[in-house]
Amino acid sequence: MGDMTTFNIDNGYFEGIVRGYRSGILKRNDYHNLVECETLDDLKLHLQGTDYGPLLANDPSPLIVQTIDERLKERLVHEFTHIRNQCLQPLAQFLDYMTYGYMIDNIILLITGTLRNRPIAELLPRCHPLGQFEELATISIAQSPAELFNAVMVDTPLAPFFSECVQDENDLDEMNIEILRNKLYKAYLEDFYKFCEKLGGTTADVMCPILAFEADRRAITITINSFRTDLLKDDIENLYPTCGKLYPEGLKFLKNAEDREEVRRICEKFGAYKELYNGVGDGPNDKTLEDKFFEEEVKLLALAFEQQFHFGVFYAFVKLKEQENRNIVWIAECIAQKNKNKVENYIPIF
Amino acid sequence: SGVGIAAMAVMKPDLIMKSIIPVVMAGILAIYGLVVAALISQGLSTAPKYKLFSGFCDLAAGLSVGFCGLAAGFAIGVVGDAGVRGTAQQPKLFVGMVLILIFGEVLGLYGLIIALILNTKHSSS
Repeated sequence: MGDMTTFNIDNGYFEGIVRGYRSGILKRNDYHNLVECETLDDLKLHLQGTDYGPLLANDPSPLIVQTIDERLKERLVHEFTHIRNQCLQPLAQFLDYMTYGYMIDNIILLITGTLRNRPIAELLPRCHPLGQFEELATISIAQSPAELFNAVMVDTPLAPFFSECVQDENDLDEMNIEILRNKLYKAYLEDFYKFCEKLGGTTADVMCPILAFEADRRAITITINSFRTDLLKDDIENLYPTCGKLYPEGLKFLKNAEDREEVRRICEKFGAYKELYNGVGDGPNDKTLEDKFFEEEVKLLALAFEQQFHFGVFYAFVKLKEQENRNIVWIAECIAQKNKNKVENYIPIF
Repeated sequence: SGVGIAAMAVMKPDLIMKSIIPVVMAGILAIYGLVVAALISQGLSTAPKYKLFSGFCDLAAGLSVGFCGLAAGFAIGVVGDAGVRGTAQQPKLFVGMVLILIFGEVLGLYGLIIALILNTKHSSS
């Protein structure tokens, strides 16, 4: 009740803008049209009829898929920064939390690249623009997590997420970088969850299930990926975010799982994820587990728009736009390679 | 709405004067209050010439125009802020914004009407 009367004072304009963007998200009809295209120029023509309008107007034919990907990403970044530049607290802090995930990805990208002796100038353009921060370029000088923290990260907003990793004195190699990424992401997700809980009201009601799903998805993905490596069970347990529905019993079971069948059994025991494995398999008509995760996420995000006067619409908009970009790029790739067998494998949003 | 005007004037300075409308409308609400205050103070005098009934009438008149003006001002402020920011990006929004502002302004006008009716009530009793 209180939300309804006071939300619009500071945030009414931004919710209005985001709902405008949301109604521009492609519908099933648009996807049907895109799938029918034979060439990338057809695709460009159809996109002109949608909310995207003159997105690709300045790019000469022949188009390549990478250009489409770049333009879509630029568009999303432009829309996000428009809101971020004008908004007030606490929306500004909420939007900042959303960018921390991209910052973590950028850091890991740079460290991995430096390890393979790629020049920093080549890596910086590949960083996600939403995850830019000032000290990004100086990451390459760090040799170990402790150094990384003390020299670079201590002034950035990601500093509190490093507290668990700083004790690790090992050098940064391939395996440890993945562990670092997962530890950072766990700390970030839990912090974000606490922040949403503190905001309370409709925002907490909408955001907490979404973040809980993200946490469980990470836990399951980490478990499955760890089958191929020789990580200790206790180390793996430290990587699971604890803000999901699987905490604490499910995570204990997951820790001890030995193969994918066991993970499947564990998921079926928890009502929320029972349906997850339906239709998953290795055959030509089955979906992969990742696809099912994306579908479930899209469902939860689309529900966020059903309520008004909360911040979840901003989070949902960015994630759904990213999913739409992935869809369009997938369709474009299928068209470009003239292989339309799997072109229907995009995930429709609305 | 002043904050909104300041925000959008950076990029679209020619729209500033058009966007002053919400500010002017909020000012009009204050004028309603001024009018009622002037009328009430005109009719004031001391007991026993000034009846209790008249006192209550004047109190009700003042409260009605005051609270209605408060609500109207709240609405005009919120709509004005979002409206001017939106008009900067989509000029067709201007007419819609003015219509919404007028409907918000009318809330204060109703308060004024009630206050005037109450005021004339006690002069005639």
